Amino acid sequence: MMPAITPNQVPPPASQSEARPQKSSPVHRYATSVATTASKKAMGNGTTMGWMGCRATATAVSVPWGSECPSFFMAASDMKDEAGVEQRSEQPPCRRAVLLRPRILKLSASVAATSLLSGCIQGPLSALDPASAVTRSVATLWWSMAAGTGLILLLMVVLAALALRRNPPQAPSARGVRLLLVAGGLMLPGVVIAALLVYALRVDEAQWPPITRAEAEQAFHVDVIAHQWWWEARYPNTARPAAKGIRSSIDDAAPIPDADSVLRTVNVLHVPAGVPVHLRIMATDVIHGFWVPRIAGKLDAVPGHVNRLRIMVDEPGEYAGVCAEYCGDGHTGMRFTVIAHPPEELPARLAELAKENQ
Amino acid sequence: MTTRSAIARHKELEEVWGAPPGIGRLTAVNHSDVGKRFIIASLIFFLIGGVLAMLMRTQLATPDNAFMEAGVYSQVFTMHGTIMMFLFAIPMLEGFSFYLLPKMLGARDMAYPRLGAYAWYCYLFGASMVVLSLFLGLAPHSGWFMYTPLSSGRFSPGIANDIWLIGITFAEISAVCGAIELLTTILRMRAPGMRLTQMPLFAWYMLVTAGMMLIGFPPLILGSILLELERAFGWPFYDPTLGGDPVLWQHLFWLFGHPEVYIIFVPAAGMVTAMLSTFASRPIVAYGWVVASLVSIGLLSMVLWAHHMFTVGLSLPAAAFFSIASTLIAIPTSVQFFAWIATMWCGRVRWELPMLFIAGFFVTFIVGGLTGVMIALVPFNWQAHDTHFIVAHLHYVLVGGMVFPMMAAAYYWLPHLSGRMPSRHLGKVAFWLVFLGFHITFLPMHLTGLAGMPRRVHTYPEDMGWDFLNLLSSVGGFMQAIGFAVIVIDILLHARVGARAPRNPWGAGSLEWAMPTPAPSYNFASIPDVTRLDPLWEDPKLPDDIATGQLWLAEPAAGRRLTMSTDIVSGRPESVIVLPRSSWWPLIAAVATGGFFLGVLFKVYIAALIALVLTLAVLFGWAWATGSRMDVGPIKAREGVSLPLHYAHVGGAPGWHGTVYALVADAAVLGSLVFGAVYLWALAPGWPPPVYAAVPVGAMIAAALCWVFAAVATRWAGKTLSPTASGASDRGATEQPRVPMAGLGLHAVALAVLLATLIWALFGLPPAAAHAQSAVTAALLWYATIHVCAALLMSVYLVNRWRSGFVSVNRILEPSVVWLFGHYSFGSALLCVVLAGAPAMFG
Repeated sequence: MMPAITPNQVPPPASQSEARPQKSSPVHRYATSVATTASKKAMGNGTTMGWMGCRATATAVSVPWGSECPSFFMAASDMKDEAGVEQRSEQPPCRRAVLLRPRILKLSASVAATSLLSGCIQGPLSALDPASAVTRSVATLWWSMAAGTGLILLLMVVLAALALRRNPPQAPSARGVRLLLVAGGLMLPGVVIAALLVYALRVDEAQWPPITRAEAEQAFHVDVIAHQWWWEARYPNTARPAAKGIRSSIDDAAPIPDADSVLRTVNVLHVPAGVPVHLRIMATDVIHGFWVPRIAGKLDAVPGHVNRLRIMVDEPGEYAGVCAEYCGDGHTGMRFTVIAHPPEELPARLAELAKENQ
Repeated sequence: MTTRSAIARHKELEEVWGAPPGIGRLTAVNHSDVGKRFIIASLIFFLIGGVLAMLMRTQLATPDNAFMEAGVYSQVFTMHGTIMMFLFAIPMLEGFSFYLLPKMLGARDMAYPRLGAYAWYCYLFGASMVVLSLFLGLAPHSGWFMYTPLSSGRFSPGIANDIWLIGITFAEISAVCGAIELLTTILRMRAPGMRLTQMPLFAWYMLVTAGMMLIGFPPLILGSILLELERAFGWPFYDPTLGGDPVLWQHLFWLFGHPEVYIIFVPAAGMVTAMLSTFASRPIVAYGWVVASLVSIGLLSMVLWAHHMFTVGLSLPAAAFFSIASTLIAIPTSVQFFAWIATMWCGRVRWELPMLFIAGFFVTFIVGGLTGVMIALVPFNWQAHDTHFIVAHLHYVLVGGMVFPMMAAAYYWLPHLSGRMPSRHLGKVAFWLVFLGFHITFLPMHLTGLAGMPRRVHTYPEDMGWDFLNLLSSVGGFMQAIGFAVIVIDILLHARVGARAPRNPWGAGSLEWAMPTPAPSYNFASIPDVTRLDPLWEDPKLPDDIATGQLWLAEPAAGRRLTMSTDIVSGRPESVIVLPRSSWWPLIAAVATGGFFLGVLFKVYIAALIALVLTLAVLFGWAWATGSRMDVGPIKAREGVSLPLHYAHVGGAPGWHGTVYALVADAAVLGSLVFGAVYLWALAPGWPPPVYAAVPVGAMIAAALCWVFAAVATRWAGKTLSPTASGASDRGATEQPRVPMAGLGLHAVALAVLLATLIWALFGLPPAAAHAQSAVTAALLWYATIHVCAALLMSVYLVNRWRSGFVSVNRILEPSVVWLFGHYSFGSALLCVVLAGAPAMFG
């Protein structure tokens, strides 16, 4: 039942020159700072070599990408994409997010008229700065529920205040009380939760990988393996010599590929944009939580289990991810990056990475 | 009627009910003393937990803060959660209900005074163990819900997590004892005439709470025992590489954890109801609706535990089920709130200090409840789970739902405890500090979470958008801390300089205000008839009648502590309960129990064994000290009314009820074990095991036969007993015991055969550490073995009691209890043996 995972060896660290800090994009800066603070603090008591190694590798995998970033995208995309990339790398994070936020968010932000609020919700890990259909609906759900909460609270407080002010009191009419209890106690929550449930269960299904083989074949597959305290990605498609592009017939029930037979990356996930990606999430030691807030909800990585998540990223770009489930002293530093590529460029990119790793 | 003056009666009763002075205070078992002890101890733990919270807010106030290291921070957040949930919230509520319930119900004490005292000592010892670890730098550090495998021996070696598991189990035993005591008291010890449908609503709230505790705590007790077995002996219940499953721990934990939230909220809501009724000067409207909503909250709380586990990889239908069940709880809660609003609407509300805190509760808890509905929705939960959004939500629910009502209750009942009024001004200042501080801390924290900050990170980089929000939360946190400090100062000051409280200072209608304040140890000089919901509003002269001995049990009875036992539903007086007086047994028993737990903790199993034997011996001594060697006829309970003592009235005896409730909790432990066994069998990775641990079919047949044999034997024995079960106690005190001890002997023989069978089956097992299947099989067989051993010991005890003349046809409480426990042991042993053997048979 449990797939064979033989992971714990970490790929060899890259040379010193490659492991220099990146300045090009906010996500890179963040990833580097995480690695250094984490290694300073969490690893201060010299826990593992693996962590040090994986930090170096994480940078190594992303370094060539970082330095070639503009040309990579320009070669591939039309002008719009290029503009997008420029913004990504040069503008401060809050500007970037304005482009993506749904209308309702813009509205409430302008009403609040505070850059403070929007500054808070535009960090690289913000679930309120969605970059996929699913997270957009969840963000919309949140803002509408937040408004609803305000309304209901207001209603209750006004009712209570009126009740306090009433003078002189009247003898209660049994029918009036019953009406209040039926309307307020039963109908109000009943209607609200029914509406919410219907909406939520539909969003729900979008994140559960589908059963149909046809859709599984359309998808790009990545196996995510969580370790204390780093993330490993394996790309089952790269297992065969003649990879047929990103589409493959690998389905979710296939065995997890051997560590040596496929391309692996550490603390970075390469995925195509605009294509469904099926993740199989697992852990080798303790429970971790896989969370890329701008792309999808979180799902735990549980030893002994394989959890499946379907994600789809709108646009190429870098998306920060983090371990959500407390997993020990290195929990704080257990971060990673999802890099979404234009789909047609991904195979070449993966091949390049495979060559570098050898 | 007697000619004693009220003062003379007070002195005589105080002599009987009061605790001895000096060191003798340790022997106090009176519910007021025990209740106050719970309140004070949990307040101290609250302050410790609060200091830990301030440490966390200091650490998180600025990015990249180096104040605490990850390892220290993990101890701090684990201990903050543990202390607040286990060592503050539950004991505080227990303390309040211990103190208040008998007074509201018209009883002189709780059903098992010594058990209450024992529960407090257990709680104190277990809690001190856990808190001391903090000062030794050995505190548990896997989070307050101790998820495996992180908390297992492989990833958390050392003693820290053992301290958590053992200390908390120790404290939980105390909570289960409390629940048993609450149930019996509420159902059996109300004032004459107080019907079930007319008891104060607070008693309904506590009845539902006690029911939830009885069923909610055992899963965690079992889960902790299994985890300790894994850590100490390598029984791999939660180890996925050996057929265990870490998700099983989560199920067991949240099977407890979710009812826990309601166990904390419901009593607090009950206090709000009691206070609101007083300040609105009218009974709560829609009594029936409120009770119905409470019962549905209690039932629903048992079926929505997995909403804490939406991200663990549930199937879509399971997630949908738990999502729907979780949102449904909004309906009864909302009925609650509208009943309160309707009450204020129909009454004339006086705005006293406690009302301010109730208003704080109202606003805060509504927000917490609504964010609760949000995170019951799976897609939103997947974003919010394990972030600071959850931290904000749970504080809104717990502080809103419990701490604000508790502060209101403290101010409301303070005059009752001390006889002095608190200051209005300091209370107001404290309220605003706490209220504003709370919302400044936790309202922004919702956003912090959605902006991506996970829980339990000890620091964060700049530029994540979290800096300002965290700083705000820290500022608010310290404001709150100052507010709580003001409350503590206020309480301490009032005891010195507070104005004397008049009797019934708030003009309440409920019975606890019918006594002088501070309350006398015996509560009621004579126990009133209560036929209305608010007796003091119906009859303002009632306190005088009580004090002058016009009512039930007015005669101080020769050093015996007497109180009334009434019918569960109608409140018809049935018998008179003789309660134990101050005693050293609870303290000695708790020390012996503590020795056992320490032995297990330090893995000195021989010491643990000795302490266990000692504990059993103490319990024997404890039990021996009750009962009567003579048949006592009915005693005069009131002019013209005689009632039997409880020894002669099995159905009304606290001992009988307590055994039934204890067995319900025990069955919940077994149910959790069965759940675990079936869960692993059906769902865990790494099955089937290389070698099945099998139980011989012969053992199953033997277990069944033993039960049949014992059932026939006890039935035969019981036949001669049943006609005298109640009401026939006028036979005179010289009647010799004619209980058929042969039936008892046969019962014991059947137990001995069953024990031999179980040991035979245990010896045939492969090592329990080999695979989860053998571990579960061993656990099931051990459960049965322990119970059969206990039943045998009880039989031995009973024989001795019979020989010493404590058992007669008119005093059959003890054989009844022993046989009840015996049947439970037979039944559960059969279930265990069959279930243990099933996987090997069916694969």
